[in-house]
Amino acid sequence: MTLNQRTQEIRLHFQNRDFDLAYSNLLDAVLESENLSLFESIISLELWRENRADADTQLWVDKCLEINEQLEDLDIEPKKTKSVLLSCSALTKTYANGKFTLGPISLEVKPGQLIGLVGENGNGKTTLLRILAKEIDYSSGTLHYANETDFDNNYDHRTKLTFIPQRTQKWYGKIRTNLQFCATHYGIFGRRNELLVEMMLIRFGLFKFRDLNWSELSSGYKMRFELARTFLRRPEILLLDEPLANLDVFAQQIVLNDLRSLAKSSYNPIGIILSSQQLFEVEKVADEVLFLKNGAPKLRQFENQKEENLIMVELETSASREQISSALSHVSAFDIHFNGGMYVISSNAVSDSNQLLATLVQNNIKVHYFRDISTSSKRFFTH
Amino acid sequence: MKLFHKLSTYLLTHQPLLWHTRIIPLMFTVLLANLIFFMLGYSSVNLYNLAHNYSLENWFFREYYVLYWVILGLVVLIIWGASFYRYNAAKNFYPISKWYFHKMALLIFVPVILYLFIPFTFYSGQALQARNLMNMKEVAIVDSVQVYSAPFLVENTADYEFNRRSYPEMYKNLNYFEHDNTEYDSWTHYKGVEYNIKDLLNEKTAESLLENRNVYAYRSKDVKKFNLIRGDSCEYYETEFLHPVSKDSLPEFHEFHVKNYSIENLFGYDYSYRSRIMNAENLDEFSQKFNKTIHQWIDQSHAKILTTLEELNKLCDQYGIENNLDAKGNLQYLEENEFKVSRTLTFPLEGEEGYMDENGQWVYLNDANNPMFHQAYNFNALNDLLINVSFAHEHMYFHSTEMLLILGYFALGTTMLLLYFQWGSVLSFVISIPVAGVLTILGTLIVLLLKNPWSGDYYSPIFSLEVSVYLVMALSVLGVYYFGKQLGWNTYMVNIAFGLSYFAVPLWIVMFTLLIHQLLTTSTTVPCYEYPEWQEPFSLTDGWGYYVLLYSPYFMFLLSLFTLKGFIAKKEG
Repeated sequence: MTLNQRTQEIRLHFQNRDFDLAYSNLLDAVLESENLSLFESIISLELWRENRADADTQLWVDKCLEINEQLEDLDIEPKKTKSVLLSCSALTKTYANGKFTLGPISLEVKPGQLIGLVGENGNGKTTLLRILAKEIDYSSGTLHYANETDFDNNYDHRTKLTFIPQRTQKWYGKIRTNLQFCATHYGIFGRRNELLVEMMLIRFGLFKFRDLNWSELSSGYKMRFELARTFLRRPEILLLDEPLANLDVFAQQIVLNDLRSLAKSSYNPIGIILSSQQLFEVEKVADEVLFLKNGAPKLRQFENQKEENLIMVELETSASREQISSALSHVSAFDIHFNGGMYVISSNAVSDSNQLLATLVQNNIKVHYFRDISTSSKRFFTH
Repeated sequence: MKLFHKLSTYLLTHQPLLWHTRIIPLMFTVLLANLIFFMLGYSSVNLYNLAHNYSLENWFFREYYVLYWVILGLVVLIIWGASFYRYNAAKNFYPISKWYFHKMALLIFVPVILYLFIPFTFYSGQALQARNLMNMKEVAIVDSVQVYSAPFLVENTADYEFNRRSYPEMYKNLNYFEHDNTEYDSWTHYKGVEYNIKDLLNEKTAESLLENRNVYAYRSKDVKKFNLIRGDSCEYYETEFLHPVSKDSLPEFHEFHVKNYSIENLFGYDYSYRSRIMNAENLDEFSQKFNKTIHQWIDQSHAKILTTLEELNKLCDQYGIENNLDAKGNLQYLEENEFKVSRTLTFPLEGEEGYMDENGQWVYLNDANNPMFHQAYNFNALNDLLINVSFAHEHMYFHSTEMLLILGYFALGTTMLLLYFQWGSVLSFVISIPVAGVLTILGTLIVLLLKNPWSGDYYSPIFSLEVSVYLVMALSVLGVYYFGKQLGWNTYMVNIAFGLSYFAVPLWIVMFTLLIHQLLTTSTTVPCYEYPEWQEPFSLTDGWGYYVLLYSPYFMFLLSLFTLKGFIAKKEG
């Protein structure tokens, strides 16, 4: 997407009154422009909004559009990115006690790609992420980073590998100070440092908390702080372990959308691997999902078709098992499982899930919830 | 406040290391503290103090100043530490340079050593005020006479005993002093020298010894009862001398001393042993007369130096002591040097000089409240001398050099300890303590089995043992460090090894000190009067050893800071 297309899209979002989406896209575009005067405009706008609780929305939109117009005049060169950021082949990890083995895992991460890592607890998700983050060693296989030749030693390489663990470390001091401290070490000095940090605070919704200590933030905002700190480091690849844990549904959506948007940036696309238990949410944003069962991987690409033409759906209904079976009686082969709250119906005798839904509705089965999980990793949890 | 915030933001966004170490506010605080303590030192000295204290040297530690110093230091350390440990670039894998930890160490070291320097600042304040209150020209003359007369002042005790004095240039050819050459190096030299009167040891009756002679109480190692020995005996090495009032002394001797209070010639071990030299009776007489001359001069306070030197000359001639006391020549020498003689001596009243009162209690002559003190000496003149000795001459320089070295070691050790927690955990440091203890025990056992391979004339067996133990510990730590690296131990283990090195690295300093000492002292054998102790670089004594061992820095850390990035980034197995 060109810059022009992007600004048009932002304008369209504003026109459709999708203000949050429009504004976050505008912020991303401004951040990618690295234009300090635009940074100042955004910060002024934010301060203006902060100081006027009764600020007129239309006036704010006009100001945003004004900045958007300024953005159109810029000529921003997309950053050159590598074709593959990370590749591993037949990677295994066996702990000394021999009770658990991870892998073999083969994986490639490209710029702009978001890979979801799912699996039950204790199946190796965190271990895999820690190996990729060079926190722990692996037993066999190969692991290559596209940028590894740029660094003299492991420490310097790890400055570019950003891994956010599930339990983030405790931070002391004000969040703005911590972000400025981080940015300075990455060569962002002076006025640029101050503006960029404030932009990150705005981008991740932390601006009003900028002078609070880390301990005063809620779990969701702590995760946002980690993301802000991480993106100041200009990562090429980002590894996140359970970033959605402890977040409410709304916060999960925001974080996922942010990650997708940042991964898919036209100007600075990055690779992201995130682990989560929130299958549905992850599948919505991930390009690929790697399912781990007892350490063994099952990579699922959504472009591929479902396995063995099997249709699998989740159904929530007030009807009984017998009523459902009766309704589907003319379907030659199907299987029903009930997990206590939800039925999982699978069949390879129908062409798609619509056919199943139509059959159920025609037979007066009241459907509260229906979801096709034929291509979802969720099916791995039902067997 | 706004300016401070601006400055802080500037440093944060331009010089993160300067901001992180809080060097500017820290330096400001430390310099301010130095200024305050300088003023405290300055204001603490007045004429009344000068007249009622025999030395200013230890005021800082005797009064409450040291308490203020420690409390202020702790407060500053806590406030600074709360800020410093909040942020950590290395543990968060922010890019840092190869010299990052070295720069950080330097930035911490400077304020630490400046803060530790405060006692010296305090003394400087005292010295400035003392000089303001005194006529330094007079002090210089007094001091010169003191230097020239000191060899004949025999009441001296404690660290500056008669045999350890340094003698001015003009005395160096006197036979009178050559005996002291043998006393300088080691007590073992007393054995077998020509003036050793062994037969007196066999005399059991005190009465035969007491007549007109100074005697000492002693007990030999295997004998429980005390005996008396003539003052000119040299069998000190094998005996334990007794103090009349010391708790460690024999009750029998104490009782004897009280009963025989009238015997003026009975002394405890602290008293000088002047009578060892040459003819004891003659020398006693000579010393008494000489003392009288000197004291008379001091009483007069402003007597001419020439007259004094002439009197000294006459006395030497009278007793047949060969000398080159050319009074005029020496005066000329002093005047040419503006009376700033390079070799000075302590004042003879230092230490435990005193006398036994009728109740058997020891009365210290340097107690300003003691009327005997005022009778014996001109009080103000003595204080002038002391202040001069403490502040104006190289005598103090010796102490300053020694103290500065200790200060430097301590500051470096403190710096490295503060730095350690930027990469190591408190837990790993705490774990390293018992491990170091076990290694020390093992080291001790090994050394004992080897029967102390270290030996030398200058160093005590205990100190050699410690050095050996630390050698074993240092090798162990190096082993842990090396194999930990080779075998791919995790950072936690390596951090423990780092912690261990805190206890082991003093060895490097000991070795370095030994090396310097050897280089500077083994080239020639020098008699004491040519090589007074304050001119030595420093002598490696037990006390020195403890300083070095206890306060030494993480030299190994300092050397290893290059590899720290590798350890921090090390992958766990």
